[in-house]
This record gives sequence, C-alpha cells and structure tokens, in this order.
Amino acid sequence: MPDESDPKTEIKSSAYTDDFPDTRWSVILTARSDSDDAGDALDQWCRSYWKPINAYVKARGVNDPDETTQAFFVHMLEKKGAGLPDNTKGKLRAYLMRSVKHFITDQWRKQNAQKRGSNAEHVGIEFGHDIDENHEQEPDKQFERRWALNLMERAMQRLEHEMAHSGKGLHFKYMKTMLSGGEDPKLRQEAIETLGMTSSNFRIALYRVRKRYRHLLEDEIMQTVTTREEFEDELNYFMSLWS
Amino acid sequence: MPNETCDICGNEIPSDSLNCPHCTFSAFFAGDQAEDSLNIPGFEILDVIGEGGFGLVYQAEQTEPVHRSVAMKVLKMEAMAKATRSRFAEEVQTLALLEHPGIARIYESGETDEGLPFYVMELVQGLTLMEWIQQKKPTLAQRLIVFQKICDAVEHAHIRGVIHRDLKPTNILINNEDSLPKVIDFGVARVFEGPVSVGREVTLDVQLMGTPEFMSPEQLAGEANIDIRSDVYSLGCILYSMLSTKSLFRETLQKAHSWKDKLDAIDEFAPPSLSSFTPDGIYGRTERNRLKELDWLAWKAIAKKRDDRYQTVSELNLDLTRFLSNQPISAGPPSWIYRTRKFLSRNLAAVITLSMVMVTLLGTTITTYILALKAVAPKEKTVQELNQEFNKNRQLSRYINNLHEVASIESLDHARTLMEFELNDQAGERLDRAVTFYSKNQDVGMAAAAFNAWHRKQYDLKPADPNILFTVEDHILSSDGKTRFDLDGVQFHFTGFWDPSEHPASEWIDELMTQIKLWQDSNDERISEIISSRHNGSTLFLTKSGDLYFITPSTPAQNIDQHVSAAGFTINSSATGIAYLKEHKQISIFDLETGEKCTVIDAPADIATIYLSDNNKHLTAVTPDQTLYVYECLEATLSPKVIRHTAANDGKSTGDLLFSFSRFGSVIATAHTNDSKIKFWNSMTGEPHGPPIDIEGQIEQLKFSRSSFYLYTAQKRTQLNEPVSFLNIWSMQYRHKIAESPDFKGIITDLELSKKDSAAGIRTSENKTAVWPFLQISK
Repeated sequence: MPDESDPKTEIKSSAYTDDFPDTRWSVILTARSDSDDAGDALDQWCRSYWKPINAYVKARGVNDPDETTQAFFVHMLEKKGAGLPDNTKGKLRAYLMRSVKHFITDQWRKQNAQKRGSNAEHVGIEFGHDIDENHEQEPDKQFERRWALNLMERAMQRLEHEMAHSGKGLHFKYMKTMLSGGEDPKLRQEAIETLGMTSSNFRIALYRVRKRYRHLLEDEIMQTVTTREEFEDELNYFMSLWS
Repeated sequence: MPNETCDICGNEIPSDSLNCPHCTFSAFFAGDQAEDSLNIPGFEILDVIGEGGFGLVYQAEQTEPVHRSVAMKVLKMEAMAKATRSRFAEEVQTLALLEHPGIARIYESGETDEGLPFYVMELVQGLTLMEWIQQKKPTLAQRLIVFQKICDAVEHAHIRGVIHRDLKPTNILINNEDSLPKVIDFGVARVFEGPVSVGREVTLDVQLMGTPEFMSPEQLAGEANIDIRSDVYSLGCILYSMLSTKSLFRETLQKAHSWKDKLDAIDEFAPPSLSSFTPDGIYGRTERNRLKELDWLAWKAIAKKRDDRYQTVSELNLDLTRFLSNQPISAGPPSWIYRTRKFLSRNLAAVITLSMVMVTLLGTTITTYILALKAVAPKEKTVQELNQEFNKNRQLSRYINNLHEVASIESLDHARTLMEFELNDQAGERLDRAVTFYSKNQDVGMAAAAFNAWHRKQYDLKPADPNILFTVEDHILSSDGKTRFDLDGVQFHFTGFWDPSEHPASEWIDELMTQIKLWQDSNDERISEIISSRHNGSTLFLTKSGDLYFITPSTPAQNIDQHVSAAGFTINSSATGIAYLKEHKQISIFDLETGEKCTVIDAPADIATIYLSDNNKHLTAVTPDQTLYVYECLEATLSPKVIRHTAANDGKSTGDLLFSFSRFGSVIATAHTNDSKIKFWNSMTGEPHGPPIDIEGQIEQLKFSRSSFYLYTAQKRTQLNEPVSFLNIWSMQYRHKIAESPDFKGIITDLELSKKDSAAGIRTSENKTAVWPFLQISK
C-alpha cells in the first residue's frame, strides 16, 4: 500500500481504459469502416463532445436544444465521418463547430421548407433569434468555453481514476480544487491534518499532482489537434476566453 | 449561482468548474521546471521541497566551489516580467550581504538554461513557524522569545536598508537543530515590485506575493512608498497567529469574494483582544491573564495608519522585553493605575518589606516610579527622520553594512579617508577597529586591506613606493589576494583573502614570518615572491635565482623546484592552487593546501605567462604571439583548447591580449588592446560563446565580476591630446552596458573587484585611486 504521507510516491500512470474513450481524429476516420467496433468508438466519441455542442445549441436559442443536440450526433453517427476531408490537418474543435453550424442551418431550412412549402419566402421564426452570422459570437463563445472546460473535466476524471487506483483517493478529494494554483487555506489546513502530512510534504505532493494534471490535460488537447503549434495556439485561445 | 472571481488572476471561474480555466491553461506557459530538466552548472538538483507563489524550491547539492546542501528557488516565468528580470540579479546581490543567524543566507543567483531566474540560499531543515507551534505547544514566554528573535532578524535587515515585504508564518522556519527561527525570502518581494497602479494590476502583484492575510493596508492598496512599518504590521499579524494559533484575518477574508471586498473587509476590521481570539486550552489561567496585557502591544503593531504603529521593529521588540520583564509597555494606555500595577508586580517583595515603614514606602515608591517612567520613555523620532535614516542606510548598505558598529566610520568618504591616513601612533588601534568592522560586515577584501595596513604598522614595514602610501592592492579591494608590502626590500605577496573572523592573525602569521626570517638569516639568497595560503599559512617562496621553496609556520623551508620563472608564477584568487612555469616550457600546478605538486604539463609552444582560474579547474598559458592554450587541470594530458582572439588590425601593430575567466571557468572573455570587441569563448570546447560586445576606446583592463553576472572593463581614449580613461560595467546576460564611470586623467592601471561584487576600485597612472559601491559608478 502506498505511503499516504510520502510526497515522493509517484502517481501511477494508467493506460487508456474504456472509462476514457479515445477522442482522436482517427476515430472519425476509422468510423468510415463498417466494423461494429468503429461504430461503438464513434458513439463514445460523440458522447465526449455532448456538452460543448449542447452549450452551442442552447446559446443559439434553438427550441428543444437537447433533442437538437441528440439529432446532431445521430446525424454524425449516420454520416460515419463522411464529408471529412482526407487531409485531417487542423483542429477538431473547428471541425465540430463547422459541422454543428451546418447542421443547425440545414435543420432550420428543412423546417421552414416543410412549413411554407418549397417556394416559401425565407423568414426565420423557429429560432430564438436570427441566425445571422454577426449575432453568433455568443453561441461560439459558449461552445468554445464549454469545449475547454470539457477538456479540463476529462483530464480531471483521468487524474481521479489514477489517484484512486494508487490509493490516493483522499488526496484527490482535497487537491481537486487546487489544481490551477489557488488554495483555500482552511481546506489546505484540513487536508494537511487529515492526510497526516507536514505542510512542506503537502506542497510537494500538490506540486506533483498539478504536474500530472497538466500532463493529462496536455494529452487531452493534443488529441484534438495535429501539431505542437496548434496545441500552443489552443492554449492561448483558451486563456483568451476568460480574460 | 454567480460565477466566482479567481484570487490569482482576477478572471471569472465558471460556476460548474472546480478550477480557474485561465490559470489552468496559463500554467503551461510557466514552464514545467521539472527537476530533471534543470541544468545548472555547479549544482545537482535533488528534489522539489516546496512550491510557492514565486516558484518552486528544490533541494540541491552545490558541488563547486564548495560542497554544501542548499535550497534553490527557481522563479516562475510568469512571475518574471522582462523588466523585473533585469532587476533580479542586482537585488539578490544586495540581499546576499545580509548576514544574521535569523536570516537564511542567499548565496548566489543566476538563470537556468531556459532563462528562468533562480537563487540559491541556505538550506534550513525544520518546521514552519505554525507547524512548530502546533507540534511543540510552547509556553507564552517561549513563543514571545522566538518572536523576539524574528524581530531581531527583521531589524538587522532594516538597518541595512532591506524590507522583507512578505513576512508570514510560512516564511519563517524553525531550525531542527537549535529551535531558532530563520526568516526566508528576505526582500524577494521587492524584485516583483511593479509600477504602482490600481485595480487588477495591483491584485496580480499582491497575489503573486501570496496571501494578503499578513500584508499591511498600504501594501494591499498598492501604495508606492512602502517602508519598514509595513514589516512591523506583518509582525503584528504574525504575533497574533503565534499566540492564538489562528490567523487574524483569515475568516474575514474568506467571506469576501472580490478583491475590493477583501480590501473593504480589512479596512473595516476591528482587531479582537488576544485573550478572546485565542481558543481555550492553549494557556493556563495565569498565562491567559497575561495575554490581555499584550493587547495594546499587538494593536499598536497592526494599527491601520502607519503613524500609529511602532515606528521601528526595535520599538516593538523593546516593548516585548518590557512585557517579559514586567515593566510597563509603551503601547499601553498611559494610565497611572496600569503603570503602578506593573511596578508593584515587578517589586512586590520590596514593597511588602518597605510597607513596614509607611513614610519610606511612600517616598521610595514615588521616586522609583518617576525613575521608571523616565527609563522607559521612548525616544521619539519623526517619520521623516526615520525615512531619511533608512534611505541613507539603504544607499550605504551596498558598500558598508552597518555604520553603527564603528562610530568613527560615518560614510563612504570617511571610510576612504580612514584607509588613506598616514600611519601614526594611533594607527594600529584605528586599523584594528577597521579590520573588525569590515570583517563583521563580510567585506573580506576591505578587511584584508585594513589588516594589511595594520600588519605593516605592526612590523614597521615601509611601502614599496615611498611616494604612494597604499597601492590599490593594499588598501582597496585585494580580490585576487595579492596585497603587497615590503619585507627587507623584497616584495611580499600576502595572498588570499585574509578573513580575521575565520583565522585570527596571531594563529600563524607571526610563526610564518619568524620561519621566513630564519631562512633569510641562514641563506644568502634574496626572495622575489612569497605566496601564502589563507587557511593554514602554507607558503611558497621563490628566490631571485629561481629556486622554489615550500614552508609552513611550523616547518622549515624545503626546496621543491629550480629554474622557475618569476613571470610565470601565478595563484588563483582563492589561494588554494599555484601554477608556475619552468624554462618557458613546463608548467606545474602545486596544491598549496596539501603542499603537493599535482600536475605537470609540457606546453606545445614557448609560454610567456600562465594563469590559473579561481576554482583551479582551468589553466591558461599565453604564448608570445598571444594564443591562449586552455587546459583543464584534471585532464592536463589532453590537448588544450586553443583560442585566438584575432584583432581587427592584427599584424600591423603589437598589442596586449586580455582575458578573464567566469567564476566557474566555463566562459572566457578575451579582448585585445588593438581591437574594439570583447569576445566570449566556451572553455570546454574553445568555441565562441554568445555574441561579442562592442566597446568604445582602447581596452586596458577586463574582469568578470565575482558572480560572473557582470563584466568590468577599463578603457582609454584621447581627449585634447591627453589620455583619459573610464570604467564600464556590462551585463553578461544581455551583453549591454549598464554603467559607466566619469573620465579620469591617465590610464587605469589596476582594476579590483570585491569578493561579493559589492564594490569596484581602480588606480590610475596619475596615482589616483577610487572606489565605488557596486553599480553606482555612474554617480
């Protein structure tokens, strides 16, 4: 059993498990094949991105946003990656954003066509506001913020999983709110006392957990981009979303 | 639920996120600083031992020039704005001058390969202040005594012009060995001082320093003129924590979400009495009653207005001493009852005895009371006076640390005068005081110089040149350890830094002098050079006929070599190794500490002069055609690295090649008197190291500062057909000029730097000597 008070005890890195589905571009590409595995992987993949897509749909003021989100993913599963360019350079975030925008626009057109007949005049009524691109800043931002938070959550879940497996579940419970640098002194004191650590050992342990969390987060982001430059662009972009 | 604001960056934290996204992503740009990625020559990084607002702290082993365990703080990139970084090294140099048992020493600073600034400090093995209190559960008096020692340390720094600015319990460690407190991170907060502004910038700066719980209102408000009273305030908060085991402001601050709310909450905060704030069970009834008497003291320390606080730490400390010795404290309400009660509690036995005689009792009580009042009345100083004193001390502290210790030395000019006075009957006593003064203040170069003058007086020695009372080596900075005085007409090189606090002169100087005189009496030869180790008096001397002898204070001279050239006789500045040249071909390195010859090198060409680096690692041989052969002493059998600094007009006229090694010998700077460039070389590879520096005029002197952060050059130019010279300081990091001296008539013939980069001194061909505190030469 690992020593709870020893900050040198390394957090064991777990391999990818079913708990944390692969989110890479390659999943979409393999989804083009007809195998069952490919279908399952795509299904898991869609679930991973539910929250940001749903945030976008809600911000667009679509009636029944959950159903529309669901419809979007059904559409993606049916498409099985069709329409994806062979050259997959670029950010997954941008690809999904484009896809959901097209999907909503298509949906909107279909609904209008059904209501007014194929020759009816183009007037938007079913959406909370016009779908004019100029007014899409807020939904875009909602999508992107949620996207970034989604990555943070996924990294956090993996960290929790790893720490629980290495007997440091209690460490995680105390440290999970301290990962970005801030520390509630009262909670910190409680953690030191409960975990039976000295202040300096706690600091070291926290340093290592933060480092591991950054590593996992980096891994999550790297799955959605194709180059190191894009990774750094993403970091800068995410920072700008909250400043 | 409204979104919260991040305490660190001030940005919004979404209600469904546990952490601040902005800080999470910006952490990637802070640099991983993993211990395995740190590569700092001379240090072996062992482990992370802490993480604070400024950066990570590692335990490390310093491997050269001394082997010791140290703590190394590597500052986060994000915490270092560009402008701040350039100030960092300079500030650390000042902090390195602080020496007090209650202050963790800062040894040196630098930058990692990735450009992250770091500094190296004394490793303190122990608990933080509050951990110590929680574990040891000291009595009230024990807590106060430890607090007084903390005050002593802070006061020591204040006298030297350094304000801590971030005093808090986690910056105070209790040493495991002696249970005494050590204050860490002294003055580091100053490095991060940015331009004063309001709003978020202040929030960022302040938050960077850590928790606001122990910061004075003026610091929190971002005021520019922070003075020593901010530290008094922080000490007051620490006193509350030490006595009550609780943080005074924590609960209040936790309730406030925004930064503005926190400021308002502190502004409206009414400090509770210590006895009501302290939980039950910590003290017995007597101690708890006494705690009430400390309320006035604590309240005065944490008064919101600076003018209402103790004006110095020593005032606060004095009141604690009064409290501990049952005298009335100055912070108490000036009531007659209070003071009388204190008097009675202090003199209870006497009062009972004297009460037998009523008249005497009355007279004695009144008299003693009046005397007591007089004795404790604090000497009031205006804030203006204090600030003037503080600023004056801060300025002078860069050169002379504590002016109070030697009453006769009141300023830098006065110190110079002292060093230049004629030797007279009182000289010995005054120089003795100067030696004590400088050695206490760690300016070993000055101590050696003062000692040298004192010693000359002791042995009734005459200076080499009767027209010059002191040469630059004698009386100013002697950083290379070659202070000279005359011994029966022979140049005597008193080598190494003589540090009186380590090695009292009486231990071996007299014995050594006796041995040398005995040898002279029984031999007919003349001595041309003498070099002594500063540690044990082991000495080499060279005769005019080229015979080399080894002698110690307790053993007679032994001949160890012949045909040694006086021109090729060199010693490193730490006086632990000597190299000498035989017949222009063979170079030997001699370990002065052990008295053994350790290396012999057969040079590939005729050699004119040789030079040994400070750490004995590199030996440079210079040929008459001014090629440098750089040897690694331990690998002397391998081929040397060959460095040729080709001057722009090389071949047209002769000139001199100048060179200097960096502290650890890894970089060599070269310059040529016929060239306008200073070039840098990697001594391991012989390859160029970074861009050259373009200089103005003709270079005459070239020296790395002791820390190797700076390069000093002396240059000359012609003005109205007369040569004038000047001194420049260059930043090695940015390769640009950071200071320039006024012009001097003539040529700068000597340039000496003090051991700790605290001062630079020159001597000119016009026999003018001048000395400046570090980086002050443009003034």
